[in-house]
Amino acid sequence: MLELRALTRRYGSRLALDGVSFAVPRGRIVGLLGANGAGKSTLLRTAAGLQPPDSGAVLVDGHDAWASPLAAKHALGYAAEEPSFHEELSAHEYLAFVAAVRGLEPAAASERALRLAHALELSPRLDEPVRGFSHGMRKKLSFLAAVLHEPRVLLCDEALEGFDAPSAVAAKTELRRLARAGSAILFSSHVTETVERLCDSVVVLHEGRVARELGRADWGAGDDATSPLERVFLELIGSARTPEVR
Amino acid sequence: MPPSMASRTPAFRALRARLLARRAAGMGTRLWVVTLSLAACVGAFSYWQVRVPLDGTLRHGGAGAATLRLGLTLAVGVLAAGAIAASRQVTLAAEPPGPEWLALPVEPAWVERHLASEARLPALTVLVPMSATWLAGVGLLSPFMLLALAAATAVAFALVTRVACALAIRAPKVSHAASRRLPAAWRMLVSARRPARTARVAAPRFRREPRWRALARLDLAVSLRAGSPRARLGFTALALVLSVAAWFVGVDPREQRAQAFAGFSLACAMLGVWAAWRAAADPPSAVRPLPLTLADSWRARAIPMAVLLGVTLALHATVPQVPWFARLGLALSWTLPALLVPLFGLHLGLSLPGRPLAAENLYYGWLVAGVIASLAIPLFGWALLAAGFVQATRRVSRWRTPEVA
Repeated sequence: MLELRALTRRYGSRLALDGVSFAVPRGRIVGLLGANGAGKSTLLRTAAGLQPPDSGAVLVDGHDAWASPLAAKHALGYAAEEPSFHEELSAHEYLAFVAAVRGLEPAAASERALRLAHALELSPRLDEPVRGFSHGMRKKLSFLAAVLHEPRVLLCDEALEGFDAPSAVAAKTELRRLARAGSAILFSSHVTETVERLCDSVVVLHEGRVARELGRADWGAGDDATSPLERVFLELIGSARTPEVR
Repeated sequence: MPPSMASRTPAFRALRARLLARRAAGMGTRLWVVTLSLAACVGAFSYWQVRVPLDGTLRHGGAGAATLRLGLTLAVGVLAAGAIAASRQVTLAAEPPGPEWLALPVEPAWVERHLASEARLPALTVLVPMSATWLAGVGLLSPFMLLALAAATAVAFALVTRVACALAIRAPKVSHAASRRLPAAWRMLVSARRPARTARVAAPRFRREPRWRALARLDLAVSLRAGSPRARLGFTALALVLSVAAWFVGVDPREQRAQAFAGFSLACAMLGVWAAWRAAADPPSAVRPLPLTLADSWRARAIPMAVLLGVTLALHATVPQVPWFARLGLALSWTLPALLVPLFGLHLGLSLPGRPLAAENLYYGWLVAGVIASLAIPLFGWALLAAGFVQATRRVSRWRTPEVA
């Protein structure tokens, strides 16, 4: 389970996160929606341990991400919006390093890495240095490294952006499988359609605060032109001067 | 109607001015003080290094010989500036700063001029020793001659750095036939930022091992594959081998010992550069979410360095040229640079996560300051390096908060 407690983060005078609190229970995929600058990436980077909050706490599988980072990070996977790698390494070497650092059983980790790489159509380039990879391939590698250890808590920051259609389907299948196995997944995206179909519930972030938490029942069936969730989201953002905080 | 070349002048001038202002402000007061102090040290050092021999030349060879000597010294500075500008231009060609220039309606000449001005910026650092060199002539040469030298140097500086940049931008060969017909700046831009399909490497073996050792293994793979770090490691190894070989060159034991120590110190310094680069170069978004600690990161670099230097020290202590009673003293006195210098680089790197270039530059700055201080007052450089080591060690905890660092 992932629990965020009153997270606050400032960048100079700008308040990026303003007392954000919500939880992602085990076995659930929770979407994170918000306009540009709403604080989604800040929230995910703070939860992943890339930057400390000014106040508040992040509990990853019961461990405070900043008080006991090692235990928290063993349980955590993070697919970055703008992934960075050791450019000189091959994708395969990078995955071997991640597996070793996470203490995974070598044979099983290698087999899982190859299977996932095949599903994400990354296997033909697996033994080439990362510096030659396109944006989409880097995103796939970041996703693969994040799910390699079947994390109990997974944070996805625009993780499927740049994926080709078959790889996106494979990634979503993997996310659903992880959720069924008990992982808590926080999935941030601008693409409301993906969130609508993939997530069990949605947290709408606006100006650094939780504007609303929505369940599947709140957005109903799909629509050809704009999705109902998209309409709810746009309405919320449009009338969010006095956001409702749950 | 498309805007003329002249109409772009204010836009590029404003861009350059803003970039300079932002960079100056971004350095912060503390770094400015450090930079100006270093500049003062370098200036003072250059002044005395030129002033004394110039005075001697004036006394023995006359004003003509002294003017020639000062002119040649300034010419060396101009050539150094040209080399720096050209090397920077080559670096910028691989990843040109700024927007996608090719997507903008800007003439190639403007982009070339702008990139060249960016490349010439680091060459301005040479102006510090050059100014001090010129000042060394004050009171020795006639004011007219000094003014003439200053004017000639200024013109040569502008000309040489511009020519160096122009040559550097035109030097790379372009294999693509259509690209060859493009203007130089366009040619550079079309071949930059393009991820090249690279050769495959052998598939790795997945292992179970301590975290620090996995990180050390990654370090080795990255260091052996990348260009300049591989050269740095190679240079370190060469310096270590030469330091041992120095015992077998010459007959005077003191001379042998000095040669061996010089090689060993150089190897330690190069190892420090490598450690600073590696410790700072781990990409935060890939490494931060992993269960790695500061101790893992420290051990991954410190243990291999300790093994390498320990083996070399043991070799030094067993050479037959050193009497047995002197070996203990040698081991003790050489352990200080072996510990201090590479660990200093490592701690600087750990305190600047995600900023390898800044870590390297800061390390070089401290080393240069240390060398200058030791030349001014014997052994004072070691005190300076020790102070830097303490400062870097105090900041090592910043590894945990890369954004704050």
